[in-house]
Amino acid sequence: MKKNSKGFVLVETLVVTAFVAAVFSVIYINFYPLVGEYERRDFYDDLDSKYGAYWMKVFIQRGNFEFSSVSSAIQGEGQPGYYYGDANDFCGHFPDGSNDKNFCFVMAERLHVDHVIITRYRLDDSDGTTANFKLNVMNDTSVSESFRSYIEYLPDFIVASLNTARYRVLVEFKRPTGNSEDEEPYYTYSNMEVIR
Amino acid sequence: MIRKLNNKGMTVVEILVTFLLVAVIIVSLYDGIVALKNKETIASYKLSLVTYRDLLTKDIQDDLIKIGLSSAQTSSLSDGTGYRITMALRDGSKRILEVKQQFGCNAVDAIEVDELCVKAGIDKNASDDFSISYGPEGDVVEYPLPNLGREELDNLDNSGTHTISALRINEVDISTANQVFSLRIVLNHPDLGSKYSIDIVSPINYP
Repeated sequence: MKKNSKGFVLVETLVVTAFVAAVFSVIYINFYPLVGEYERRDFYDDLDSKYGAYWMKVFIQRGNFEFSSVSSAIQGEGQPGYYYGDANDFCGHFPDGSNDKNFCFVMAERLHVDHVIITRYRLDDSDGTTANFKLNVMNDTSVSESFRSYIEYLPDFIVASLNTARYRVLVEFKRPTGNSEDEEPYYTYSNMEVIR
Repeated sequence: MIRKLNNKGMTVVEILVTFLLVAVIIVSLYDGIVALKNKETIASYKLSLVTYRDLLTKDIQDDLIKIGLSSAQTSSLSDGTGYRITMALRDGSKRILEVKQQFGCNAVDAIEVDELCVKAGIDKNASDDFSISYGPEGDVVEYPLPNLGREELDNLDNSGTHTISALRINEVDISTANQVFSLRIVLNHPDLGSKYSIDIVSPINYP
């Protein structure tokens, strides 16, 4: 019996090698961003940010927090469906000289609040009567890219709040690090329901 | 019937080429495996530190949010090695937070001892001693810092060794200005930086 001792020719080997390399490249390109995404989520809804968002919620729920302009930005005809402002703008909703305003400014500074968004409790637009929050905020370049990534990551909260909350506050924190010059400030995010 | 066996085996050149290929593959994988091992160690450090920070933060914040803070006073520990914060809550009870921050001498030779320790007033044979304790007055419980690596350094006078921790309390910032209490305990680790520090902020006497 004649033995088959030919093996592979060079072209066959090269084609298979190129194919395997292409498959591994596609896997790597798709997998690598997931690692970064996973590491970024360390700073989504962490404990410190949750407590920070809690205090922003407390301020919004105060009786003298001027909510009508916020409400019209959320629900008004042709409005984006959300209020967006920095800590100064947010605390400016309290009457001048009020105790709440002073507390709000100091707390926002110590909690490192950078920006605040107030929107409806549900983040989808399935009722068809309100603006599409997620779609509008994704096109809003005044909102930082990392804040938009956090919003994209959030669920739509389609189940009604057990506390009958109608609004939601989303907070961006700009946190300092230690004294080391090597460490850049970093951003964390959190959200909390608001009962008004 | 006589059956002919295939007993040719491999030539020396084939074996050498195979060994060479295996050696190249192992060497190229080694760095990757060592890097992954380091990454795994750092991930376990991070988990320990985040768990520690979250437990302590939750215990303190539970009291400050559920009961409310009516005043906070800061003093030095009796041996001068840290801070004692007495928090009076709105139900009349008190909570005590003690932060011990004693740096050891992290120097390996006589020149460094002079630079890093003597000038900073640190005993040249001193070990690191960091701890945080919290609880109601009279029932304060220690929350020992997790062990995220330690180094035993020989005392320069050959009298034994002293210990330097990788995780250190680098800074303690306490403020009660403008009727807002804030406490930042900077927990620093060479591999994790200061991102996992303790940050407590609460208004004082907020109606």
